[in-house]
Amino acid sequence: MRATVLEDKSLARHAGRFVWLSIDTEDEKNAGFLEKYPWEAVPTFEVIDPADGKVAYRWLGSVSTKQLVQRFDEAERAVAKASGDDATGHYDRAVALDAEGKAKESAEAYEQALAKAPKDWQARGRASEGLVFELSQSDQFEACASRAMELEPAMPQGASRANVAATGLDCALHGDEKDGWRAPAIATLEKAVRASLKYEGLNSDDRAGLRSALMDARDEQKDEAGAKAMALDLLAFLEADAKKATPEARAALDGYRVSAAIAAGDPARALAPLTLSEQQLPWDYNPPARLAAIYRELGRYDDALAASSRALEKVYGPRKLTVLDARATIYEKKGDKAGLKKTLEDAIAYGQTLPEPQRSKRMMARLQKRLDDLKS
Amino acid sequence: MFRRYVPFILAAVLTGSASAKMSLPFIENDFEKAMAAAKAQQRPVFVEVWAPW
Repeated sequence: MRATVLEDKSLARHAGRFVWLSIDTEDEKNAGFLEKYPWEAVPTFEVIDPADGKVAYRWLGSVSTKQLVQRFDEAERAVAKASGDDATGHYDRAVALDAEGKAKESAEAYEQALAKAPKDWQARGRASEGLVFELSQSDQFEACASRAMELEPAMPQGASRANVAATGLDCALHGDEKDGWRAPAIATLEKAVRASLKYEGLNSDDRAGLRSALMDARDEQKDEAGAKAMALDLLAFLEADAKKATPEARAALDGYRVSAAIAAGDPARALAPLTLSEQQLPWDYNPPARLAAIYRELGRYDDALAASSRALEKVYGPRKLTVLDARATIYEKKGDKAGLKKTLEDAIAYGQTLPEPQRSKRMMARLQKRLDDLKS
Repeated sequence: MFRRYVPFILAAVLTGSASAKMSLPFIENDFEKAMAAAKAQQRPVFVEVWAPW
């Protein structure tokens, strides 16, 4: 989204509506902010009311320029604490409850908004999307899948409808295999996600994300051939998209390129585009880190270590732990115990220098366990 | 392999690039400065939490 929507010149006229702040989760300067306002995923967008310092509005994930401007309006209403018993009032309450992290209550408010909404209600798509998302966030997977199936067919084709289908599909996959509702829900929602690939107005992020969701769905159902076919479809899409994208926008989809090439059983197919990304974005640690993963898959361990070293020269903050963890795996696969031990020790020592809010307990525990396992 | 589907987060995550040319006057990595400006101008703070992944 940084490489696309936030660079849209038409946004400049909204400059006076907010004070704009960008927070890099990896930068040590932001430890205080991140302690006060913990984050779950990036990107997260939050609107803070300076009167009380509380988050009045927030959402996760990228949106189009048009949706972003709608969210500016919603955020302003949330700060003004508009309320009422009509659809918009319930909708605003749902948004505020989400900002407080109350997913279950937020879902209930979205239900009330939809129940009171006039037929031509402008926010119906966004409320449907919000409802399904909050049901998923509160682990109400059956309700999430079933509401997605009810709401999705009536929505206009576009990103919100695609989101409802993909979120619903993910909820269905979370169901217990013994539950009778699960299999038909997966079938219906997979079909809906597949259909959404043809919608106009979706950006490349959306289109790659939908294909990736379908690939995961096949993989989750142990359909090896289906997952491979989806991986090849995703690769073909990424290769066609790359021809018209800027270097930044193309590299933004490199993560999909890596997972699709590996899932397709053809990791070498990602080598040329990742090498190009490294040449075009020499300040970015991601391309060499991804190249290291591909070389590792190919069993080219010395090339993998060289690429990992180039990534380590550029990476900073908590992500450095992830790069070191991946480097340790290269040594492990190579059968180099001394290199593995030293990399894990370096990673733990570096992790201990990070400020508390930026030090992932899970990653630190993982690194320590790997080191302990090695010693025992 | 399985992860919770959050709409297009993965793609969005990967768009963090140091070279972005933003159209809005973002204050970078300075919460105190943004809050002081917000109080002075009586405007809310719009925060983009991102990572260079």
